[in-house]
Amino acid sequence: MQTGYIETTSGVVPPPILRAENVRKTYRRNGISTEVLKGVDFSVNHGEFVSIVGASGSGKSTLLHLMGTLDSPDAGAIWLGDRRIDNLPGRERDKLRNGRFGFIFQFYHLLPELTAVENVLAPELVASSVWQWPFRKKAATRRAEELLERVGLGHRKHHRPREMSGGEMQRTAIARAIMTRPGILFADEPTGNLDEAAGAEIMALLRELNRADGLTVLMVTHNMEMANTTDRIVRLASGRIDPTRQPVQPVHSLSRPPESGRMEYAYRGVG
Amino acid sequence: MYKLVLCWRYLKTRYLALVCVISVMLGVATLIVVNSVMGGFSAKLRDRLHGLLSDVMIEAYDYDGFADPAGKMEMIRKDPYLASQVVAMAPTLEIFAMLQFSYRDMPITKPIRLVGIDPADRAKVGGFAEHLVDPKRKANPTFELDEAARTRMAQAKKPEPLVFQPILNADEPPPPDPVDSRPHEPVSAILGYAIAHFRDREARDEDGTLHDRRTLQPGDEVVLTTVSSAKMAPVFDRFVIADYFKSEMSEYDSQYVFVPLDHLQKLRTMEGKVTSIQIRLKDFDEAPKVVARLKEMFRRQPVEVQTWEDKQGNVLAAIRTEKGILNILLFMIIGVAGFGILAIFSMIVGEKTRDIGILKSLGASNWGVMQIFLGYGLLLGVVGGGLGSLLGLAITTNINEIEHLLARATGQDIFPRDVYYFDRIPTDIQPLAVLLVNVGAVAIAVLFSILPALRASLLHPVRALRFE
Ligand SMILES: Nc1ncnc2c1ncn2[C@@H]1O[C@H](COP(=O)(O)OP(=O)(O)OP(=O)(O)O)[C@@H](O)[C@H]1O
Ligand SMILES: [Mg+2]
Repeated sequence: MQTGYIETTSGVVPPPILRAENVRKTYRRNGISTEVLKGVDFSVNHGEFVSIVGASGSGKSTLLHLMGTLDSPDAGAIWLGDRRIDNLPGRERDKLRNGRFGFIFQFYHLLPELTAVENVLAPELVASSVWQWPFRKKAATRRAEELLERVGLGHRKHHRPREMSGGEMQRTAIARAIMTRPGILFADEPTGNLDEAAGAEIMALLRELNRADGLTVLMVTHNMEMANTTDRIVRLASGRIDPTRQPVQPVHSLSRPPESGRMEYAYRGVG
Repeated sequence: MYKLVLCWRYLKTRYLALVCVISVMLGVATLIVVNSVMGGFSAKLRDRLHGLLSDVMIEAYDYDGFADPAGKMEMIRKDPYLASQVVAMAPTLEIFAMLQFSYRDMPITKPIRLVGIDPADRAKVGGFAEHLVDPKRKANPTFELDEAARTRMAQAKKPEPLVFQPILNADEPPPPDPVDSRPHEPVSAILGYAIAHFRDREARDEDGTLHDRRTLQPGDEVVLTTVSSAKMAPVFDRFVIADYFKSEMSEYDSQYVFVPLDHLQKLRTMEGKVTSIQIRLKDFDEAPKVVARLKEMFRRQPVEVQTWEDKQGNVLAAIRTEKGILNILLFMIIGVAGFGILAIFSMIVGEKTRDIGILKSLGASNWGVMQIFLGYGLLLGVVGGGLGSLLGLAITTNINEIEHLLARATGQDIFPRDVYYFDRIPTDIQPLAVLLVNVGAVAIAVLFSILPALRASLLHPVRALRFE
């Protein structure tokens, strides 16, 4: 259907790839309810590298989880292109997370029983049935090894997570997140646990994936320096997007097309 | 696919899983061993219980017996249905008696059951000839003495007079010796094996097997005292031992003495009378019908018609009950193993909470996550069941060697051979039982993994990811 850019009546404007519409989320625990998100309107454009900042406890992770269909909002809607995804049945959401979305987390969240290359293969393993796997295994393994080489871990393929440094684990996690060629990468404080050098490496890697492959990145961070290198900064405060602190214009042009020939991560349309 | 990979990895890396496997394995092995040994015992016991008894028997209500067994057998042979079912018949005369002999100059008296038979007839009914110790007699059962026995009898000096302890005053003259029934040659008898032997715990071979000490040799004389038919007056006679009867059922081997039917009839002054007719059937499944027909035929006579199962009903029922209860108890063992699985799986799910969150973030479905743990339970059940079967079968087939080892190590007989009179622990491995035990074990493993698996699959991904 659509491949990245569509002509709209208002000119050549990329459609928002992901959009939160008046999203509300309230946690209830022991009779005490905390309204974390009080109506968030916010969208991410195709190929954008957006960072979300805000005080601790302001609901950044919550928003990320909602947009990544890991959780459901109490009210409002999440749109992927023109498809509403917050109320999809579980199976459909599983498919989205497996094929369209990639996640990386502050604590890497690798599977400790698997080696680096097996961790990278994990989404492919999840997607394949026992019968399909023998036919897919070879190509998938090759791709996983290439990805590990790309993130600079060619020499760590058969190490287990506990035998790797934090930076190495996070790079493995990034390789895993892009294994199934998703359009959007959700990153929750990906450098939160790393020292500056390792953090910078991760940022460079994300930026590279964003630039070269057209991967849309939505990143939560506390580090303003890093946030400043992204296309746009969104600030969450008291459950809403803080309008006073929004940059007037994104740092990078919205209409920047993905580099020619690298459509690998291009938004594949809906349905 | 990840389900298989993770199942396998979890099995390999969790030593807790090993505990599960071992508990299933031990449960399965125990069930198989106990079932096989119990099966062996009860099959052997059934065999032995049947042993002396024929399929169907017509019995008198009292020791007086009934008359005209030949006529009755003739009636049976003339009945077309019975004639088609009955393979062999043997009249027997059974009575309590006392056996006396001297061993190393010590007078020994034992209560026994005395059975008068015609050896050829009795052998056809079954459960007799095959238990005779002398191999030549198995093919051709007779009371004839063999050469060795005859020489031993001839060599024996005039038999020492039996010493009866007088209950009278010591001053009074002792009662006259039993009437010396010479010149008539003593009639021969076949003695229960345990009457003429005893287990000597000292007499062990180097490899630990027990030996029997023989107190009576073929050719030795014994005196049997019983009562005559009508007046119940004591009667006695000398007999000479021809052979032993060894059914390995201690109740029989320690009690039964067989003598020729006609001689016992004469001794008890009840010529022509017997206490039972033993009948062998072509097909035991027909027994109820045969019994009904016989009851009908002899309804006016003072006789009872029973199958051997009726006669041993209580014991057989006890065996069945015992087996049933044992199996229930044993399945409780596997149940315990099942709760072990439940506990350990719950622990593993707790430990793996974050991994479950990760898998869900990678798009694993609830059902997929559930399958991991169900598959895990299945794998534990199958591996544990397989290993347990191997172990159980290995133990069962070598149970006698193991018993020897244990007996030697502990110096204690685990399997007292003098109680059972079996030389080996009998086993009976039933493939169906092994299969059922395995299916049960796998089912329990899966059943008890359902709850933790369900809990895992219903974990909220975000909560699982935030889990520390
Ligand atoms: N399951 C829950 N039940 C109750 N309250 C929750 C739950 N999860 C999160 N919260 C609350 O929601 C608020 C937002 O949490 P969230 O993790 O989204 O914040 P955050 O902005 O990501 O913070 P941080 O920067 O520290 O990661 C917090 O106050 C937290 O206590
Ligand atoms: Mg957070």
